[in-house]
Amino acid sequence: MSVDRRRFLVGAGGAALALPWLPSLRGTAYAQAQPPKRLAIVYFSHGLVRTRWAPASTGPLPATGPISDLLAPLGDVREHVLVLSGLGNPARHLYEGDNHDCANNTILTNAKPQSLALAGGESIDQAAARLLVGRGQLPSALLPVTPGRYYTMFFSETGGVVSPSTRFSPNPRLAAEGLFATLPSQSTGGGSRPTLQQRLRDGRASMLDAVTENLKSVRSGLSSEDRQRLDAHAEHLHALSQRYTVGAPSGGHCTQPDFGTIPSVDVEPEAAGTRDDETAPAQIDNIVRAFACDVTRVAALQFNETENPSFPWLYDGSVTACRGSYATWHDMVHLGQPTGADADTGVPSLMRGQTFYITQLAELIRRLATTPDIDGTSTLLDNTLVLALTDFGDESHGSANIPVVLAGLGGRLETGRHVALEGRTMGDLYATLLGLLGAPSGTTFGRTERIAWDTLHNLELWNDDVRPERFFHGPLPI
Amino acid sequence: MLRRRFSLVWLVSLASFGCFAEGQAPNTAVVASPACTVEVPMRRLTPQQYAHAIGDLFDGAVEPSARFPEQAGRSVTGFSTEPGLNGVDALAAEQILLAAEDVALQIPGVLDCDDEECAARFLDRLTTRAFRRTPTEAEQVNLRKVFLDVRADEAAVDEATAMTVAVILQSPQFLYTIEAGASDTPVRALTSNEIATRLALLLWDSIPDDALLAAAAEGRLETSEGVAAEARRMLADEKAERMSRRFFREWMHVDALTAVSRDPARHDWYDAAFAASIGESFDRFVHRALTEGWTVEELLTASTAPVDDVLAEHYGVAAPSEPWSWVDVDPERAVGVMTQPAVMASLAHYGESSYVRRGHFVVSGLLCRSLGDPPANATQEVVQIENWLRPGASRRELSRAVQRRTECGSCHLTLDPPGLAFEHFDATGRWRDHDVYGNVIDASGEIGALRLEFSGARELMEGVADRFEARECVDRQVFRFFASRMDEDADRCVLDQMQSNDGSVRGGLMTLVGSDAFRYRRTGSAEGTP
Repeated sequence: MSVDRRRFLVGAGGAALALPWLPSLRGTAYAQAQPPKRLAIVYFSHGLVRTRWAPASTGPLPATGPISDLLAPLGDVREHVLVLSGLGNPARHLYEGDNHDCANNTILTNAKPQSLALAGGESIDQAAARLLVGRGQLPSALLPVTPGRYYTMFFSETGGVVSPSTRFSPNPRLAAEGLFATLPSQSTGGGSRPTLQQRLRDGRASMLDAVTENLKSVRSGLSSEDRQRLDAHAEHLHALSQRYTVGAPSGGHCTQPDFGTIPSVDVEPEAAGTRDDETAPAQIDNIVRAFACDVTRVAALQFNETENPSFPWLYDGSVTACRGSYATWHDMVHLGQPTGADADTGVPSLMRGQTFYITQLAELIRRLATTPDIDGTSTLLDNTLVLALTDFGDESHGSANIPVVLAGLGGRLETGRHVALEGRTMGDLYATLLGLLGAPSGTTFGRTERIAWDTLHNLELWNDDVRPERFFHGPLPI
Repeated sequence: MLRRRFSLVWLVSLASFGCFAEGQAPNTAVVASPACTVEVPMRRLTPQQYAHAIGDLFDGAVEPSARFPEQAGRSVTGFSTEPGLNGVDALAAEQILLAAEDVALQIPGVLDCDDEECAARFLDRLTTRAFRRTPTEAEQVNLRKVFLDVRADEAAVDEATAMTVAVILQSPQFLYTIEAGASDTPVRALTSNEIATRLALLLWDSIPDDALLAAAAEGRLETSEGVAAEARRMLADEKAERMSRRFFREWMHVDALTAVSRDPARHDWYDAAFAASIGESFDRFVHRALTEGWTVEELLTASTAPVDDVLAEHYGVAAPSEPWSWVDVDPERAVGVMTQPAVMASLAHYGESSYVRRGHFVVSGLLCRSLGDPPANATQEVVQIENWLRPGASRRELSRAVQRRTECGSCHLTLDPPGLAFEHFDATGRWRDHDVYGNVIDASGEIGALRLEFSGARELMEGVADRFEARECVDRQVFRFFASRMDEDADRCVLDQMQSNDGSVRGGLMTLVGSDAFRYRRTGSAEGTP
């Protein structure tokens, strides 16, 4: 049965199965392991052209032809996809201030920001990480597509940016070196002599144990306060050593990739977004590999050039062509939309760029759907929930009707459909997702109380007749 | 066979460094516990100290790693050695590991060894310097095992050495000031090696050199005279520049000066080169003040400054033929360390001077008066008050309006006047006669609480320097710098001893290192006992 499944995957997925780090299917204890659940987030900014992204009707997606103008790239993976329209982000209105800061501080947190720079609590990826992390994994991994210049939407419990140990380089090769540091080097199994760098990497667990041994020998002479500090230090050494010891639960099947084959792309902050066509696929590759090797169970792909992405690969290398007569992409988002004066020139350009994001989302889903999971019988996508979303619902940076696409969780999510959810919130969505990932029933996320609309700020940005009654109503009917 | 041979080599090589092996003898010169001791928390190397230590350990042949954990949090004393700023959480533990690997990767390039005997000598010397003492038997066994395990895995001598170095540089013996002392009593006599480490971290912002370890081994740090003699040698060494730079920059909030930007519409001369020049002028000024033992009066009122072309233009004096010559400047425009442009520019905003930051520094930084934190709504309040004023109101008018608010006045009555005394110095420290709104500057004022009346920065600083509190405050800052915490009532005895000096930073430091408190340590659990 499992072999049939595999054949099917080979037919559908092609090359992905040839990846060298994947385990053989034949009779190891590893192949019988129960795959963990995972969450992959794809985040991009500035919404999607309001009138062009949602499927024309609710219910099953069309069996052939484009799902919608903007979601057309998802056509090949449509059976895995659930499109959600109508969701709103009322938490954005809890704080008076710049749209971008407020939206980015709330879109994944559903909480009132503490300030323009500080969110009101953790983002959904962090809550999911706590739920899903096992022994020895990195709790989460944030993979930026380009150097971040303006905003972040991924926050720790204190509302600050997530820990640097879970934020990786926008250079895919550097990201891979950090992400896969705990995997054994490829060459240690035999063949060529390991380099000193490989020896250091592979020897981390034993070196950390030697450090712990040294720590024990000074501990005895110290005062109790000093001892407590050293004991805390020792605990972190232990956890770190465990991470490097456990490596991947693949029983040695997962090795470090050949880092030299991973694109090394360094982009100056001023040129952010100009090489996303190289970095996005490579970071997707990193996510798929991280899941396949169980290095982490929560990953986020962040398209973080917000002000002026330029998509030069779509325009013969030009970094200005995509925005036509507008000064920036951001200006075009505001003015070039369906209701703007210059809709005819702006909308096609916006759609061309936004289609790139959806194409990358489709690529991630396709890769997850064609890569076997650690049990050898299911695919990564069967056990992974994909959440793709953006910050705004319309050209005024409104917070109603935010485009959301879910995918994956083979069977546990009824995919291949479009569900309209007017009057429901991001809080409803996140509680639903946590439930799908195994949180106890009744789990909520962020604000839950009734919404007092007369106390909110910047309500002109709601731009919708349908107002949610509460921040949280209950799980979504999906 | 291999193991056996190696262990012998290791022991032989230890004997060759026998001078250090004796360095752990307890400080036996004083048997009874001295009356005046203080509590000093265990500290981890700061990022700066780490960089200096790596440089010194390998005589500059190895680059320190930029991946060593950065400081996190807000310093209470203003100084960077506070334990709370240098904690080890999960992230820091990993960064320490990565930093150690960065250094280890450079070892094959600096190690000139083909055999294990040579590597053992290298590791022996390195461990002794990194741990600031001869490693114990257990530590030797542990490190030797690392080396041999790596060797058994077909690694070359230099690779095994590198991996052992990676362990040494992550060990608490290297990272922390381990002050176990020679006894298990609440007041502990520090070992000579622990005293050497205190000296090196305080005066060089780094770990001891071989000469200092030798002084410890020879028992020369067992008396206050011996410690003072070593301290004088160290202050004359160029590594003491690290200390003066760190002490004064952290005290006066002159940090990350080059990263500070200033509104180019108002200060188009403020660029990276200008920031570098005023930073260097400051460093040279304070290092001379330290090494020459300037009194607090000299420190706060000297009208001379080290000047290059940039500073010459800044002060409006002729450019010196030799850069960084000391030049006499108009005494109204050069009032000691305070009007060093680096200090004035640091105590300022992007587009305007800050009389609040400057006044706050005079009151809390130079007079050690505790003001507490501003109320949470202070910023909103001042914006509101500013809206009521005429457009283009002077800062003095704003200050008056703020002082009229009872909840604001209690502090601003004291901290605004000394700040306004520096209004002639703009946000880059340059002299001006009109503020950015075109108002003629009036730099006179009085601090009622101190019964101090003044017209301008010079009169203010002469008045401040004359105060008993200013002299005492220098000592308290030196104490906080050493102890990595605020001074408390329990530290009175040491501060009293420091009062006997000449009111200079150097005098305060020398009294401190010569005190019993420097050679003994009271642990927290023993609070209240003598």
